[in-house]
Amino acid sequence: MRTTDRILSLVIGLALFALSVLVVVEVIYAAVNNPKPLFLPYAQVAEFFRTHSWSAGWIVTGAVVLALLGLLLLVSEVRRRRPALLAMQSADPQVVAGISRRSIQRVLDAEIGAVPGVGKTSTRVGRRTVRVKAVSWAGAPDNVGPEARERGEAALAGLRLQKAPSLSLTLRSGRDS
Amino acid sequence: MSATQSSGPAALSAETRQPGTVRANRILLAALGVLLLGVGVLALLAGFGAFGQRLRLQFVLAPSIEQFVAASPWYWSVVAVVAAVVALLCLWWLLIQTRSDRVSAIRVSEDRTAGSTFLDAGAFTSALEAEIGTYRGVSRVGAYLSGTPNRYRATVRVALDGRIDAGDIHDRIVGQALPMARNALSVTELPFRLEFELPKSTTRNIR
Repeated sequence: MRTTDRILSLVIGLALFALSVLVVVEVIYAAVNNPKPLFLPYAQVAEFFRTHSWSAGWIVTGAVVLALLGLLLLVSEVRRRRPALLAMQSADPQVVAGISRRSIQRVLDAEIGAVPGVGKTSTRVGRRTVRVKAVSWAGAPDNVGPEARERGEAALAGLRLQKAPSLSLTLRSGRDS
Repeated sequence: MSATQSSGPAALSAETRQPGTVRANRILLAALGVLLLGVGVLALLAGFGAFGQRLRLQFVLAPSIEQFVAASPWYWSVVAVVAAVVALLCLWWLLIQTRSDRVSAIRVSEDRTAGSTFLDAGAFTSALEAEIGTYRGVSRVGAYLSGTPNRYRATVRVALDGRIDAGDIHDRIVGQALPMARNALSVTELPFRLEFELPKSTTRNIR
C-alpha cells in the first residue's frame, strides 16, 4: 500500500501542480489583455457547464464517479493496514525482530500441505489469527484434520512469535484424485 | 543464549525510507478522498433535487454565477492565489517523496578541537552482512542504517534457507553479530531491527 500511495501521490501531485501552474499562467495572461486562453480549454469547459443542468446525465454520472473515487481513496487510506511482519520474542530490549507475513504463510502452507491426505492450501496471516483453508483428498486418513492442525500449531509455536496468532483451519473435502 | 518472552508489539509495520512521507501521503490522499466524496455527494444531491427543484433544473454554470464573476474584479486574482498555494503544496508533496532517512556516514568520534571522525555506513553494513552471511542457515543478508549520523538504527534483512530455525539465527545474531557491531562502533547501545524471510521448503540438515 505504501508503494501504491507513493505512486498515487506522485501522479496526483504532478497533475495538480501542472494544473495549478497553468491556472496561474492563464490568469496572468488574461490580465494583460489577452482574451483567448493560452493552454486551458476554458471556453469549452464553461460552455459544457452552461448547457448542462445539475440533473443532466453527464453531470450525475460525473458526480457518481467522483463520489466513488473519493470513497475508494478514503476507505483505502483510513483502513487499518495489515502488519508487514509479526514480531518475534527477543532477549535484547534493543533488538526488534520480526518474520514477514509471507514467510509465515509459506511455512504453514508447506507444513500443512505435507500432511498425508492434504492437497492445496491457502493461508492468510492476520495480526491475531492465521486462517488456513486446505483441501483433503477423498480417501485421506481420518485423522487428517487433527494432524494438520497439530502440525500447523507446532510450526507457529516454532517461530517464537511475541504473540502467536491462533490457527483457524478449514478443511474441505476435495474430489477423488 | 535463548530468547525470553519480552513485552513489545505483536506486529511490526514495514520499514520505510521516510515515515513522515508515508504519513503525509496518507493524510493528503485521505483529504483528497474526502474532497472528491464531498463534491460528488453534493452534486448528486443537487441533481436529485435535495436542494430544491429549482437548483436541480438550473445549469451548473448559472448566469448568476457568471454575472457575479464579471462584477467581481478581484475574483480571478483570488483564483490565481489559490492556484499558486495549491501549486506550492503540490511541489512540497512531490519533493518529500525523494526524502530518505538512510544514513551514509556515522559519526564515531567528535572533538571540538580535532574535529569529527565519520565511518562510511556502507563499510559497516558490508562487514555486518559478511559476518551474518557466514552463519549456517542464512542464504542472503541485506543491512542498512537509518536515522541521523548521531542516532541511528541498524536494519538487517535475513533470508534463511530452512536448515536452522529463525529463532536460533536470531539468538546467534544477538549473541555474536550485535556485540561485534557495537564494539566496532565503540557504542554500548545500537538499536537493531531484524527481519526474517523464511523459505517455502525446508532444506534437510545433512551436516
